[in-house]
Amino acid sequence: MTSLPKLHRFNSTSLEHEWRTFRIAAWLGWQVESNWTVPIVFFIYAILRPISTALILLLMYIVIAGNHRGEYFDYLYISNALYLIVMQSIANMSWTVLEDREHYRMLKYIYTAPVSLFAYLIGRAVARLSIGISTSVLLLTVGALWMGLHLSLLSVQWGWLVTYFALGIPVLLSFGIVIAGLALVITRNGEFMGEIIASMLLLVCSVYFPPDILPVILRKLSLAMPVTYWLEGMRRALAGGLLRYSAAMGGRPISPRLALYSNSDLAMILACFSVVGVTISFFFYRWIEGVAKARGMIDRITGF
Amino acid sequence: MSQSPLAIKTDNVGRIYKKKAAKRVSRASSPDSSRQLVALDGVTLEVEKGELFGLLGPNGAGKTTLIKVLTTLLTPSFGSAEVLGYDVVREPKAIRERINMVSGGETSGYGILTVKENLWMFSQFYGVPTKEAHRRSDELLARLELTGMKDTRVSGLSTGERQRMNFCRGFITDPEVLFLDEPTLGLDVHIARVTREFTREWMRKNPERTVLLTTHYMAEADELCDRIAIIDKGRVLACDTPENLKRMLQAQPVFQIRAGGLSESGIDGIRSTTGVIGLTQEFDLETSHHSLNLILQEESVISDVVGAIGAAGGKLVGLEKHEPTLEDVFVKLVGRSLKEDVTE
Repeated sequence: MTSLPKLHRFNSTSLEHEWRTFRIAAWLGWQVESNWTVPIVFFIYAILRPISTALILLLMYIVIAGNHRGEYFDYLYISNALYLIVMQSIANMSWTVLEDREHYRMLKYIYTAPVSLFAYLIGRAVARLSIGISTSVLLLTVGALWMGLHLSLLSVQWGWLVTYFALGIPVLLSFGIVIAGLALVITRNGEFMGEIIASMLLLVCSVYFPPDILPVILRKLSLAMPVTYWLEGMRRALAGGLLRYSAAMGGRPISPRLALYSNSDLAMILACFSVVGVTISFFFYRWIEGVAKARGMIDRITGF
Repeated sequence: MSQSPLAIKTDNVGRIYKKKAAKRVSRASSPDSSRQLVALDGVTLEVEKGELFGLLGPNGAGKTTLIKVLTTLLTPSFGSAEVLGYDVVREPKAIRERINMVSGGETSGYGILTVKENLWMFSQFYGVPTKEAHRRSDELLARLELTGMKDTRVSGLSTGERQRMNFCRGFITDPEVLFLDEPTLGLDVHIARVTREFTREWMRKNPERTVLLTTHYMAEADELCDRIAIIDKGRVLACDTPENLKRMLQAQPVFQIRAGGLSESGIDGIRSTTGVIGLTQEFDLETSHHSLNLILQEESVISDVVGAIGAAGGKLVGLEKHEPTLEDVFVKLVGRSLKEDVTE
């Protein structure tokens, strides 16, 4: 085998190298996500399952509120659809760490390769994020066509939608990175951690319950969470404005607390959270990777 | 980076794991030392560029821990280690660009990817151009007799085939220093020989390439390595060429004795005979004979040994003197046979 000239292969800049790592990791992520089973099972898992969940939500709504679909239904339905993106971003990055370390047993080879694990994890998350986004779009379409969701392409505030989406994704990925870092140092039951945290967010991040109706401590927690603002902004952009209870119930905003913020305020809050989140997650991950390395946990098999 | 012609240099490097205290043992009653596991205990080694260096030791000796430290997977608890002059703690990135690692006896690999995809993907992490990566991959797969499996998903490979693919993964990036951790563990005899031949050939083609090999197999270490460090309980007991290590026993004769009717207590009696430095045993189920390998202080001790066999009720079947092997050196230094350790 002919040897390459010394370090010829690393004459690319650091940024180019990170970009290559990201691309390869995204390719691997897509292979893992799309080829893990036969197409019919993938179809059931990726499409039928979330639609079934939406149907359950619809049924529960009809039992409680009757057949009238007010804006509160839109609030619940849109939140539920968007939450899939939150779930895929947050819960699944830690799953990647565990899967690579304990199932494929490749994390140590990735780690000892000249790649940034940070770029690798984000690359791997892209495939799952794409599946989350596609499923959300599908759910919103199904909702608008058959479930009485008030959603029209003409009323969507596209500019805000793109803005909130672009500002929110870094925040969600930062969350995912922090939890993936924790997964590196957790020896047992780490596979549940991502889902536990994502489920907690379901409760406090205004997915089903606006902050206003939560107990004081949870309300404070809710208002400290970037996901709360991201969901609010995305809901407004998709619904074409602030969601309100029906006129019979006073027509007040579903979340008066969040209604205090204008679209620009929400975008500014999300921008701040993005900067802070990315910075914190970067440094936190570097620190916790050092802890994992010091404890010898990068390649530890814990009975996954 | 310091100016160093060495491929690997460790200076009193050590690694201590903290063990969790057992629930029933109160922390107060448990001394600190009982909650610590010393995996590496002050290892000092120097490996020149172009060397094929072997680490020989029983399970738990610290071989893999040392590899983990050198490949930047694990932080040392004390001491320092350098690879190609780069410090493993301060300059891990520079090291990772120049090394690769293969661990044997593993079923690692992305099962959903084909063999060729797995190799290609890794080559990309190291920045090898795609065309070159495919050329190398084809060459390696042919040498390791995996060409027919290149489009097979890794999940469809046997353990041995996965190991061969993993071996190819280690070479595809053409590292300056390659760490082979028990690379032939679980491979059949033919493929193990192919991997050994390939490793030697790969090193001959570029005298700058360095391999650090850990192995259980004496013959493999003897055949492949330019120098060997015998390691046990985290410490290097001896480090030299295989010939020089064997020369350590030149003044001490090595005998092989076959005897029938020996009990374990009888063998213990032989072991405690004055002048016996080392004794290892194997039992042949077919003939019901024990085969004893003895390292003696001097040749005259053999008569006392034969007397001890008679006193233990044994019957001498055969006796021959042979040239010392690495196994004998290992027994002398560690106090037990590597084969016994593997069997355990």
